[in-house]
Amino acid sequence: MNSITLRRLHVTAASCLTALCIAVPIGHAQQSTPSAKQLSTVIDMLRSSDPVVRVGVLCMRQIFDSNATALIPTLIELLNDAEPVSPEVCREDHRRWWGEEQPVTPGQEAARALVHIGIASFDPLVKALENTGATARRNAAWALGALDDQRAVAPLFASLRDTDPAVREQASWALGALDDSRAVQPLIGALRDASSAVRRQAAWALGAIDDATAVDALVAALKDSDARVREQSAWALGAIGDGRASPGLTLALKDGESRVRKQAAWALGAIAD
Amino acid sequence: MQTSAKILAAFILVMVVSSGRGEAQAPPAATVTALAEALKDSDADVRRQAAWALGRIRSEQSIDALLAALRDTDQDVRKQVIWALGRIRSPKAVDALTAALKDANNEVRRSAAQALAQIYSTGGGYPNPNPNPNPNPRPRPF
Repeated sequence: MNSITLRRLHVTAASCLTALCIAVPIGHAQQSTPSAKQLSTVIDMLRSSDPVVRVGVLCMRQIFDSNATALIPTLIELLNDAEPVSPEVCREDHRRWWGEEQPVTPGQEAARALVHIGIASFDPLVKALENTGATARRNAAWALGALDDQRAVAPLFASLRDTDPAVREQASWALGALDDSRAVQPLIGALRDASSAVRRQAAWALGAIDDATAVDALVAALKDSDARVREQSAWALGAIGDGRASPGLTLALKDGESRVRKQAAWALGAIAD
Repeated sequence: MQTSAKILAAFILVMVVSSGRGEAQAPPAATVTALAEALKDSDADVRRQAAWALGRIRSEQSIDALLAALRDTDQDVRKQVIWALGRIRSPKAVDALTAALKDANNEVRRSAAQALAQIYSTGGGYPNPNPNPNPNPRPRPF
């Protein structure tokens, strides 16, 4: 508990150094629509040549509320920005929860800012799924999953057939996050994707959607060539909790990889009650 | 006529009782056998997870394998095995659990006490030593 508090202080200090101190005048404007001058200050910083400045501003959530729709075009332009900076630049809670220490990029943070602005970002994000940059398409897919509007389901089906595997993976995640049963059949198709990362994410999404029509395909995926896919499929079958998966999961108790055996044992216990 | 009505009533009663015990989802016997085998897996996480699954399934068929697993070298596995034996509530486990009350490890002794209390009680909640054994490998935003 203590170390978390310390870390939070430390990270807050880092954000302050990079962005908070620069942007104090804008912080006051959060209750009303920002003035043209305030907007142009923010836009200038978002277009800075320094990625730390770009990310530093993007991490200031209080700027990107429903009054900040004028910033949407600039944020959409940033979606393809993959220049990495240290995660300490941005205080972001979920990274602490998941124990990840990966660098952050302006493109990812722009996606978060668009989600924070809310539903006004929806149509521009759908359009960004057809962006020429694969990074932008991936970040747009993430944002549409996080925005939690079911209208994104149909556009994301097309992203499951994107040429870039990272986009297909993120689209699979987004469809799982949207938790819409219309996505079950397309995701079953993604269980046969050429990329194992996509197959794994599709297995996760099918478990998250929790629809029993996916059971047979997930049982088949217990024989995938990739151990992570087999593990995630076992998890999904436990999450769905359908007894028809028991024979396949029982075979998976003999898998060569211990992570698969462990997950199969869990799934069999999860199905039991 | 009366006899067949009685047979029908008995049949319905058996169906109701067995569905009341949640056996609609009873796994195939081969599953219990395979999970009992998995209690001897080379990986301690697999053994612990198998014990957890057997505790959820609550089949008498797994008692002997669980009793043998009380001698596991890993203390987390032993705790989970004790938890499973408590959930299955088999009288066959009482002697071994009573012996575990003298284990050198505090947590094992506590688990054994709770498992015995569970066997002698009529129901209610029962604390799992590993409350969240589900390691959902990854819902991944980025």
